Amino acid sequence: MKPVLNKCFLAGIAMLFVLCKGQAQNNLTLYNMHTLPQRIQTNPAQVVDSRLFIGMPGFSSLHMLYGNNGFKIRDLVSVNDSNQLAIHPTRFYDALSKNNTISLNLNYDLLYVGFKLRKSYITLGMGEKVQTRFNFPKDFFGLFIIGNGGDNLGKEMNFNFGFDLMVYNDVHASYSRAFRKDKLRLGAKVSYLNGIANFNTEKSDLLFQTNPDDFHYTVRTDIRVNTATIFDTLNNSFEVSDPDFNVFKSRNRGMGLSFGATYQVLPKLVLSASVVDIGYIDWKDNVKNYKTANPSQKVEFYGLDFKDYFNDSTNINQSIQHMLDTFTDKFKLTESYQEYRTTLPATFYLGANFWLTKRHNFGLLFYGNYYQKKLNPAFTLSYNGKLTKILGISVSYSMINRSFVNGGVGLTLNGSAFQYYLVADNALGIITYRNASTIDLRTGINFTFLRKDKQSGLSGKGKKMGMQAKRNAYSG
Amino acid sequence: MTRSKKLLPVVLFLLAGFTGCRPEELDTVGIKVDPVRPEYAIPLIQSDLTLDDLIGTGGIGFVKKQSDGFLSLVYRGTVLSTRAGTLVPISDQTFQHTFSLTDAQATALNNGQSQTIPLDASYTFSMGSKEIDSLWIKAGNLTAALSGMIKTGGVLKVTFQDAYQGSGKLSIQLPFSYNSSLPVTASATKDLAGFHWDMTKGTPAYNAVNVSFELTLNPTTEVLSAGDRLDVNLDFKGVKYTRFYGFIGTLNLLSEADSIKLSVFDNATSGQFSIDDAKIKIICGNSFGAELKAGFKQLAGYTPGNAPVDVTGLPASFPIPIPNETNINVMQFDSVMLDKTNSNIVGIVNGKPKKVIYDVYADLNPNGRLQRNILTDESQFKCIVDVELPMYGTAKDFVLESVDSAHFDLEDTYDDMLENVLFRFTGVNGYPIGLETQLYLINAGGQVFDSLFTDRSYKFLEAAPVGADGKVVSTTGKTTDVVFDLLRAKRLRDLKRIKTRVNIGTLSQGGTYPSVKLYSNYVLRISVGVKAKLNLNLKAE
Repeated sequence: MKPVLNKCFLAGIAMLFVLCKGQAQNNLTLYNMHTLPQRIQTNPAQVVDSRLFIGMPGFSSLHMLYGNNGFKIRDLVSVNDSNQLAIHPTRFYDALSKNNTISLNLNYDLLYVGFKLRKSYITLGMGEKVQTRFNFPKDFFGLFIIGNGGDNLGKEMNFNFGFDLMVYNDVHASYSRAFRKDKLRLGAKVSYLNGIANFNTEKSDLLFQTNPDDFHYTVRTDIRVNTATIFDTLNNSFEVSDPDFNVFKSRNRGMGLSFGATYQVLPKLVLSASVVDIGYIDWKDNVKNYKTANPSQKVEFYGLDFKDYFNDSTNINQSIQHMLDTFTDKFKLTESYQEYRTTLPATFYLGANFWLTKRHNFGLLFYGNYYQKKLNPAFTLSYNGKLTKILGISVSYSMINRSFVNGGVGLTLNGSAFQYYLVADNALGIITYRNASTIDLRTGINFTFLRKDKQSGLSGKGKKMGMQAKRNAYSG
Repeated sequence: MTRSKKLLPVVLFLLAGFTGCRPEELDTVGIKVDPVRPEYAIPLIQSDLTLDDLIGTGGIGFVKKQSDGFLSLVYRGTVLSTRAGTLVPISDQTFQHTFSLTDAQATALNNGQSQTIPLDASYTFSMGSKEIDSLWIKAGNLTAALSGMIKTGGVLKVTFQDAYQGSGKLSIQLPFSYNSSLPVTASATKDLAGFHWDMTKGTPAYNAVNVSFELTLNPTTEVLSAGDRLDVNLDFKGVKYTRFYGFIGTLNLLSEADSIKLSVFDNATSGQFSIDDAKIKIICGNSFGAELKAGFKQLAGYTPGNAPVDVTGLPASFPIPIPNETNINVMQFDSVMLDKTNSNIVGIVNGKPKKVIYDVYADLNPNGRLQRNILTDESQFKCIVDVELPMYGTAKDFVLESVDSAHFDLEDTYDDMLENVLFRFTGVNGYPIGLETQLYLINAGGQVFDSLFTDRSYKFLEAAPVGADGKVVSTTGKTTDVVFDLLRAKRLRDLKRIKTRVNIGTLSQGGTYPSVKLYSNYVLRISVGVKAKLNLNLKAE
């Protein structure tokens, strides 16, 4: 690799850390499935073994993903020897991170087609995406399970619950082309996005501190929440029985970009990198914003007044009411109707594949997304093989969401042009759900044509060049 | 073997592998929750305590702030006389007159000629020793009634010559008629509100009522005779005044004994306490326009079980201002002060009396009929006795003790939950007064079974240091933790009473206790928080 390319590559990686923000997409097994066209969605520079594919209209791809980086079900409940359902509050609390996220995504491709044109590969597609994310803070549970009087005394606890929902249409096209004698392949994908509904928790700080000296409480809030929908919720309530289809003329538009590259470093070693879904949606329809009127305001509660405490219950009630009124007044939310922008849940992939033969490779993949100023990484080792013309298989081992036991499986079953596929990053998680922090499943049907075995990302010519390079190396 | 056949075992193997995995099933009996041991901290109380909160005037006093913020504690006793409206009432009055026909008048009436009979009469308002020069009437009625044996009709007009409302005289008319039966009767009533009545047009020049009658009789065919009578009654009832000019006689206005509770010494048991410049201020208010003499029959410090200690230097009588006609509506005040320069009041106060007792008298016109009096119905005499304790002095081992009933509910169910409770007392003292305290916990048998602190007098807060000007320059603070473990907390169930012992001492400088002053910007902040360590075994079915 030339120095200038090295620099570009490193700069690109650095950019990924800055740009990527969002929630889990994973697709860790899919990334290396060279028999499955949907892998192009994880890296637009990737190619597949078919020169033409058509996703079955209406069932091209259905991808469901549940991710929980906070706890596993077994941390909270288990069945003990007495066959009782045992609830483990402390174990649950210990398992939590400072901020925890439960994600539930549903991606549905209505249409997806792609074809090879000389050195280029072009895809077109459209689909619906539903992304939800619920954030819950460890501190909130700590308040009840640990209390505010022990380790939490003096600590600023943040009860920053958050909820995000984004529903949008994605119409996309990708293009990739081989360069440098087919060793290098670069690709890009452009998406036109049309937002349907959004609930965006920009900030949800509810900070609570217990003073270690006299135990008085300090509370302050900084909340910023935006909502938007194509339905006119500001003036009318949406009735499912009588929908107004004009609402689909949404002004909630945006775009997304994906970039990818593959590079054959050695005849059997291919490196790849991609950043997927860098983009945004501008929400303009039926927008409502809620914001803490004065985030610098704080309320301090020192207890009841001495005189009230000893006088009578009426005064105590008045004091409590006064305190509640103060909370209501100081933490008042203001409403506005200003359009806003949300970014897509961008992710990046860095991969390396060592090809044993033209049908089998071992993959190493580093994945990450950057959410709430924190990198959420995943790491995957995989075997990817095209056992026969009928069966393609990938077996992966991933570390995702602080979980180290995620066994993934991907299968493609081809009967002539017909292809059924099933991919899961944590296949065991579907069965042993108590231990799972990530459960995902992608399935669908494609029609693939003109399939040919070759190393991913390379054209046949490139492969020849690679073999020639290998011979040169041996002879050298 | 074709490729498909080669593949078949692989597919079957994978299918078998997946179908062999069966999702875990939940088939449980009951729920068990692991114990948790949280520790909660709660702020219970916080107050910035003022001097009034700390000392307590018991609702009978107040804290007086001077312009520089210097504070005095004032205990007040007030005695009030009866108002003039009640003290000097106007009794109901009745005046009577009888008309009798002459022979000529009877003949003229029988001959078809009407007759008008004018008559002036003078009466005296019956007020005993009181003399009315004039009255401004605010309520009351005049009822005029006639009863006659003259067989004809007519009208009687009665006019009070010296009673005016504006320019109109008080007048009343009684028309009457003969309807073949005797006696002929008639009556009328007049509201007296708003009339001003001058009663000086007579001899003597008070209580004089001058009335003019005018009786008009119609001609008649009935047979009239000389001597036929017509009786007239004039009744004044419920007369109340806004002003009374005259003389109300010599009256004892007030003779009342009362006491002022000095609650600052309520719970004092021992120790030294001194107020450098205690005072008693007697404030007299008067709105009687009459000579008034008032004074103390007794003024003394008193502690039950001991003889009263009389205050010396009492004036023979209080200075009492007397309003004149122009300011009769406003109570006038004057005062006299007893302090360390003219009495023994400092010594009496420093003896920590529980009360100041006093007996006040007041007499109106004590020297008889020397001057005319002016009163309103609201005229009153008021005597205020202020025991003023300027907060400048010393205290050393000044101990206050009190016993209050108390109880502490700790249900059995909490036995397994509570590991310990920590009470945290945080004090910030802005007063140059130190506090030592102890709380004794007493059971139903009257026995002390626990105390809050281990020391008999726990140094709860040090006195705040003062500068050269005697003012506090900085506050002192202290945090005190008291821990109740489960065993100690359980004993609180026996709690019936709490004995509080507070030892107060002003700032000590090398063993001496210079007098300190208290200012309004001094604050004692007390916070109480609780931290409870729990052991929660939640039971769920």
